[in-house]
Amino acid sequence: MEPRVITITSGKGGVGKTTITANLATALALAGHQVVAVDADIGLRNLDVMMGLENRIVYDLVDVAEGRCRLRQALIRDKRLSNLFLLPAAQTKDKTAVQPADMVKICEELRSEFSFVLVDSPAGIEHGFRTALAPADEVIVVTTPEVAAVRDADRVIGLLEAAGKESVELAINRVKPEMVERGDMLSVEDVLEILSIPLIGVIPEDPEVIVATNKGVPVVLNNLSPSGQAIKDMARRLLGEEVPFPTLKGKESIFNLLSRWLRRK
Amino acid sequence: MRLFGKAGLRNPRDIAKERLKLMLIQDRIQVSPGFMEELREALLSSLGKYLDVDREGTELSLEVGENRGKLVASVPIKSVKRRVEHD
Ligand SMILES: Nc1ncnc2c1ncn2[C@@H]1O[C@H](COP(=O)(O)OP(=O)(O)OP(=O)(O)O)[C@@H](O)[C@H]1O
Ligand SMILES: [Mg+2]
Repeated sequence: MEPRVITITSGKGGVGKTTITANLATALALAGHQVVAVDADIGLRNLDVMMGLENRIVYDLVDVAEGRCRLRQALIRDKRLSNLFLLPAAQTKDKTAVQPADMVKICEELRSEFSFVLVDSPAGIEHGFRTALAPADEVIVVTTPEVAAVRDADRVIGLLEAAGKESVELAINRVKPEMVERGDMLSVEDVLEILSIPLIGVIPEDPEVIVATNKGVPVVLNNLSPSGQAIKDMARRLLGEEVPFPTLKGKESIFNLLSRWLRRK
Repeated sequence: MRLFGKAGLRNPRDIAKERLKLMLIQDRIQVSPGFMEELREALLSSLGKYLDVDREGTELSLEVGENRGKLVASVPIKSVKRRVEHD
């Protein structure tokens, strides 16, 4: 299989890019692949925290780009999975310290060692976004089912099309089925109808995500968490498996139960 | 008289969807340079099969109102063609 560089981006901030990058990387590694997660959010690094690797960082992406160390020296091996690595962002340097061309070069080098290179993009559509996108073969756009997030996702999708990115897929995060059912929130179908790009993942709102972030243990390692399961499904879809999207229904309303019962008659 | 205005019956989900659709009409047009010009050309060239129009006097605008987007075209007609010109 050809190595794949996949950038996770969003437009609007705080919708779950870093959470998805950390978990997708872990899920792909659990499936036996050689995986590296690259934190391209320079100045605001988070990926190390989500993966529980924050106290192992010696060199970072900027050091690599500026030639202060070799790529290998900056890679941190995961605590649990020996086939999972992190290339951390710099916490202190300027956002423009890494150029798109540097990123392309670094990812080229990573391709020779890894089958998956996942790049966690910063929010926005500025320099950092363009840098994170430059090396991408595939792009995952993350949104939540909220008006502002979907609007920004549409803008990003337009930019990706203009940049000639052919494989652009959507992940909808923090879905609350009960709210959709009450008519209080956009549904997965609504968001898909509006953005009209292929769907790769639907992740429910899940308090386990916060617990996982606090512990520095990605939620996919928790077999009981619904969001972890959803991101594992996402990984399987990336690997080419047909995984149906579970109908994200909340608790069934009396009305639904009744109408189904009547139909059966 | 309408006792129940349309808005009174809609839930937040429907409102969100409608607002988004309107926002995206504006956003998509604003971010693609030349969109309106291209649309104007396409419109004039297909109208040209039926009508002889005043290109310079043609006005095209997009209006986004309360609950929908509307394309408004004002095309002065010089004459109507006797035969439709098929390509
Ligand atoms: N499915 C979920 N359920 C509950 N909480 C979530 C979920 N996904 C993300 N979160 C929470 O939302 C917050 C933002 O997530 P995250 O940092 O992954 O977003 P981001 O898009 O990377 O943000 P930024 O744009 O700042 O980089 C975190 O506190 C995270 O725990
Ligand atoms: Mg982030």
